[in-house]
Amino acid sequence: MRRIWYRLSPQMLIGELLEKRWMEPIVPFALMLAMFAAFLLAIPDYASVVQIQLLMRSFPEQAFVAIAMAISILSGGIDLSVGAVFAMANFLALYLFLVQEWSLPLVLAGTLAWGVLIGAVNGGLIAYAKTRPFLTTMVVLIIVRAAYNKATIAYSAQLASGYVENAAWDFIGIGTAGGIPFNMVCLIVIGLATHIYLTRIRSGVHIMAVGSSRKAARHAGINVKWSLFLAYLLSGVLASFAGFLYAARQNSAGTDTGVGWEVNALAAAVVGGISLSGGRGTIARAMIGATIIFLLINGLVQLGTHGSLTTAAIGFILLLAVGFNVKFVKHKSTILQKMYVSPTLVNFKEPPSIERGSGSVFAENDRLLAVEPIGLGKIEGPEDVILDRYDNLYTVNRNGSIIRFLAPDYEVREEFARIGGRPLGLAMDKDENILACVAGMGVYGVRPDRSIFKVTDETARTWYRFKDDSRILLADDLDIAPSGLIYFSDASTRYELTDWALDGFEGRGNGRLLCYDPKTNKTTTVLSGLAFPNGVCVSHDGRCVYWVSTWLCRIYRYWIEGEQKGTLEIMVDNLPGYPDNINRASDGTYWLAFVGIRSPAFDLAMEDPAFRVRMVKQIPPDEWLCPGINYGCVIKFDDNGNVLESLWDPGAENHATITSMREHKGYLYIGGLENNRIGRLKLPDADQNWTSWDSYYAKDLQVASDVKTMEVDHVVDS
Amino acid sequence: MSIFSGRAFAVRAGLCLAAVAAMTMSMALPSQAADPRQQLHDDFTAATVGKKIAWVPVWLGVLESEWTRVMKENFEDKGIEFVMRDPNFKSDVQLQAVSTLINEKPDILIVQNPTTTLLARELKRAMSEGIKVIQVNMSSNTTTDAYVGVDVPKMGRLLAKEALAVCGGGKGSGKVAILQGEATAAYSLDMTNAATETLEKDPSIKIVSSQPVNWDANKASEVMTNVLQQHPDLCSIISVWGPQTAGAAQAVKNAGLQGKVKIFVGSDGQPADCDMIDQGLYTKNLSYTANLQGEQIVTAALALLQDPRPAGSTHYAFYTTNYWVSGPEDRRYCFTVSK
Amino acid sequence: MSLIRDILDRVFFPNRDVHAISSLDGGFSPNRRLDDAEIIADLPGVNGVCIGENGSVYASSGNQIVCWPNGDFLKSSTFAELDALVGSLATHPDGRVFAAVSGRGIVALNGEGQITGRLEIVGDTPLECVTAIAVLPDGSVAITDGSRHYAVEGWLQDLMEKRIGSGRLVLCNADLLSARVVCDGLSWPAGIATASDALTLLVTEAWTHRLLSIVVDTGAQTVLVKNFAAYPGRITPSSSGGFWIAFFAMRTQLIEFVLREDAFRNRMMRSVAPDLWIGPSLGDHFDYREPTQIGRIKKLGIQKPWAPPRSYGLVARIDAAGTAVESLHSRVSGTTHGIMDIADTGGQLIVASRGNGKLVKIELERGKAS
Repeated sequence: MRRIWYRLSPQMLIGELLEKRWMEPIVPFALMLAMFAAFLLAIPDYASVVQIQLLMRSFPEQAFVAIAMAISILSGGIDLSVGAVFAMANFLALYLFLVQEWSLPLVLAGTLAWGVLIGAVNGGLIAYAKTRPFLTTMVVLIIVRAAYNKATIAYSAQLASGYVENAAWDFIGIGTAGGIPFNMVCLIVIGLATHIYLTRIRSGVHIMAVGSSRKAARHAGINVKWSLFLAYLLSGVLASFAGFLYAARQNSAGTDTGVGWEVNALAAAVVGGISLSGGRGTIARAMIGATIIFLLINGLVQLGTHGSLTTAAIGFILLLAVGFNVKFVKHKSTILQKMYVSPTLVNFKEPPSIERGSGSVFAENDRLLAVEPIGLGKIEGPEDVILDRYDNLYTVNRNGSIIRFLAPDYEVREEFARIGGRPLGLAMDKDENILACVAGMGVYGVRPDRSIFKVTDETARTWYRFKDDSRILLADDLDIAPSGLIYFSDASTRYELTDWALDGFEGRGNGRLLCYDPKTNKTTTVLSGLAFPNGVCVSHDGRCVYWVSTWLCRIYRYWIEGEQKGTLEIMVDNLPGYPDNINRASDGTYWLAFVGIRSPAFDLAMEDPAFRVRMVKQIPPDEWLCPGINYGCVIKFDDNGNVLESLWDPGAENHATITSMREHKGYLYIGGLENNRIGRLKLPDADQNWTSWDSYYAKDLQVASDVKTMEVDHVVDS
Repeated sequence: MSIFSGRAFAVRAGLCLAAVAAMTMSMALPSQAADPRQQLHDDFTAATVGKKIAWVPVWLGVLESEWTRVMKENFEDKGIEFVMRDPNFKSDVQLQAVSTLINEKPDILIVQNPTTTLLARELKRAMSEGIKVIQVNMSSNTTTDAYVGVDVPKMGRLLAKEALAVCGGGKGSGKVAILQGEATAAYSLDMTNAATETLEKDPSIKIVSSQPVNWDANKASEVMTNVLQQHPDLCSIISVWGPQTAGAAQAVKNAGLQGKVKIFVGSDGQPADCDMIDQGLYTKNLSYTANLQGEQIVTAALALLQDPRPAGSTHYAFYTTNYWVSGPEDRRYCFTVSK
Repeated sequence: MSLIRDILDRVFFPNRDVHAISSLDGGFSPNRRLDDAEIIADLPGVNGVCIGENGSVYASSGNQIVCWPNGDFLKSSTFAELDALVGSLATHPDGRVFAAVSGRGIVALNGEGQITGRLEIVGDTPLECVTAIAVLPDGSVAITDGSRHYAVEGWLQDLMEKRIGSGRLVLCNADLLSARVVCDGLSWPAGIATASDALTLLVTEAWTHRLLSIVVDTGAQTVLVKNFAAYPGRITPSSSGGFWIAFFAMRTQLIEFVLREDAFRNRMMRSVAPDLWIGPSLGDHFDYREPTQIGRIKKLGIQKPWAPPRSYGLVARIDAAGTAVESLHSRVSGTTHGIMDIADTGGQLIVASRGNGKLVKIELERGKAS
């Protein structure tokens, strides 16, 4: 039960969900639904067709004003004049229509012209005269409001008695299209258009960019002033369009029209989660915010609440939203980090002893003391090493390049190729191209002429996961089967290389074994849900792939040929260290690097996910326990799963971690992810002519060379 | 809290209904013969019990609260469901509230119009949906089943006559200022027009100012301060409504003109207005006694409930009688606010 | 949740240690002074150090007490060999040396290193865990007894078991007679020194990370410092004013966390060898299997000095109010860890690093007196 809970881990789901950008408005959205549900319960017939229609009819003008406010906020400023502009537009529409008796299109044009005018004033002052948005729009608010009051008084009698029967006017005011009120249709269409404008159209995107960072926008060559001007223009036009709709619907220009709408619009923007510092938010969020405010007022009035309480409720909601907004934005990454790491249950048995003199095959010894350094201080993090047929030594560097040390003395260092990313595991194919797993990128190759090519960087996405795992996030090690298929591991789909210890802390099966087929140019997922798969190596007979789970301390065998093809088995379990790369040895066995040594305290913590969850919550990441990857060693195992020997560097003085080793002509070359050197150890008992490349590809050449030898023999004979 | 009281109310109404039903049944069975007084009562009960009356004021000020209190007490007593929506001076919210209520189909809708136009269309729709509509004090451009409230023009004329009496015919400077309420509200509009007409009959009268102050005492104070600066010899102020006038009276007092500038106020009879009279800040106060008006609203509603004709067939008007308040002895024309 | 707990803690237990470990700043700002110090002697297992008459330096190591007569570090001799581990040392003006013997109590040695007196029991309770000795101006001897449950070597167990404090402050006369308990129930009192007024004693309380001031006559305690970032050990007057405190290990957030996690800690204590526990270390042993923290992963073969420490070297000088004036560090990557004791010769500070088994010497700057 416990195991299943931790394996399924709802926390992980939430963590991955929270990481999604589209999850940001989830809180306001949920609030909106909750509010609707609450009123549904409290108010009879709340969800009846008529009632919904009514709600839809009453809502759009406020939503337009909220959108107008949102655009100004998104541009990095604020437009307090929206309410007054709206009211004035309402008056103008009524005046032009009722008093001047203009035709409807002209009334609309006149009203919008007002919006353009006032938007231009706002925008001109703010963008070109560089006045402060808050003060500028507040002054405009006061002036427009005063003008509105004068105007309504001047024409009060005409407006009060004016009553024109006009079907088109009434349709705009109270008509429906397919059951949806006309003004709601306007809102949907214009809302969508505005959204597309701000996210897809160049000048709209520029407004967002200016809001995010004015300086960066300027550096990017955006006309900041023009963008700001446009934002206020748009804001003015939207507010005045709302005024036009309102005029058609209400037929009334009261002193209270539009009073406090800027506050409601601001509240809507904030409740919707639009950042007051600009650049972050969407039109949809403004709508969600406006809906919340609207439903709240409407619902409370329907419940017969005293007006002052309704106002207080809005204030309270606004306060909460601002607080939440500020806190959430500020702490989102921390919350995410604490939510994201989702430890699971791993049960370890006590491992074999590593005590010196204990008689265990893993017992500490001095066999790596004699290691001589190559490239000391000239290399940063040689995770893997490989040698070509001319004995040149290739390794990876943490700056994303492949480094070559030239034979025979390896004194000369040169940058062979620069791939980028963080190259890790290496392999050499038949054509002597170097193939490299590159963390953050995928699998890449370097030809002997130093040209770089991409092998693969994506696989099929797992359909049931929130996190998009189609990209290969942490390609770690690879090998090439006789068939030419490239098997490689994507060690973690949840953590990048810099956080690989966190993946171990989590202990979850986040990785997968992938296979790239050069013939079809397709990558398939062979095995998934693996805890840091690593050390991919094709067996000497080419019938199976050995790989290790670093965090579970196991060696697995995956059959790729023969009758067991497609089956997976654990070959060695409960290693005392964290296994990393596997490579072939000259005697038909395999070398395996331990990147670290298990710690009993950490093993114990792995059995207690709740303890680790609390650790994540209570102490900073630097202090979290992690797998002990400061000391490593090298071991050797055979095809039957017997561990044959171990090679130790006492105290790990020279090689803090060991992630890889490659045998070549009687020497063992040692690499480490966080080392500053490559080690070279003489193997006196090994085949002094054996090379890895030959062990993979010499059989193919065998025929050719046999023929040659025979020819030579023949010559001698004759 | 309001939800709770709403529920409690519903329960009470339900209980009441059940009791009445039980009563009628038990009474109907033994005595077959129609007792005329009993018949009257039965008819009344049938017309009223379980009916629903909805009320949307502009906001819940002192005046509206008094109406609401009277209505609530009376309707509950009669077993009528009574709902109130408070838009808190927001016309868009009021329109929403009225629209929603129309969809809920109460038997009677009572509204106080903030302007002549805002609710006009919706009130028409309400009547076409079969809801009888009563407009209170401030009517709209739509005439509905009943109007309860001040005879606004008459009130305007009465106030103007008082002003004429002190300022007309060459007495004093003849300068009169009018403080309107909301310019587009019927109450203010009609009263101002009537007063203006009356005043203009006397050529010695000069209307130096006629401005709306939106029912707001602060605004009235500002306006009056300006007027007094320009016309320190102002003779009289006519104001359409009590509470807003307090600001004007204060401005007069600050200018040291208390008693010299006569202030005539149209009032709903809320206690503060009578206090102002007592303090000598208002000269005279024409009260339309909101509490009594509340009773009249109830009467109109009860009448409409018992009227079998469909909505829109009647045009009753229940004009309120106005009472002059000129000193503490007229305190009875002000209501008291229950705490 | 934790915030609420913090607030409640502060309201209801004002003297309890706050949740957060104080940071190393101000007088505690990190430096390399311990690592830069001159090594006097390699002395594995060094524990106590003290200065005798005419500048002789005594240091305990294992069962032995080593002496450098007249402060000449070229010549050393074995002053005495006892039958158990020797800890804290103190010299009496009359030439005798007092030595704490683990599991036994304290002994007095004459100038030739012969035992002339013992104190092994106070009241009914044996004195098995003497952590520090101080000689008062009147010649009487003050002793701290760390715990009733463990001898000195069991310090880590005592910390991790989180028992109620059982340490004592004991006072006896110069002949180690008429001993009495001044204070009981202390949480591993680990150092003791006479305050300048001679009427009070300064006592460090390691597990509560505090410095107490205790009135000799009444046993009344005052908390001088309540939240050291490390576990305070021995304390000795400084020649430039104030006191030196040796901190034998650092607190880390992980250790504090494990100390809150009772279930896990108990399981760990049952199933894991103490050397491999998540807990402070003196740095005197190396094991591949010790627990690692994210920040302690070596990068390019280098241990970052600011990594969360398992062992650390820290000595600080505090003024009379308990404020740190200066400090000497050997950071995580350093090699002078687990400072057990210090001795101030007047011009030099001699520091005993248990973790790296050596005595080092720092020339003190004059005129830094506060």
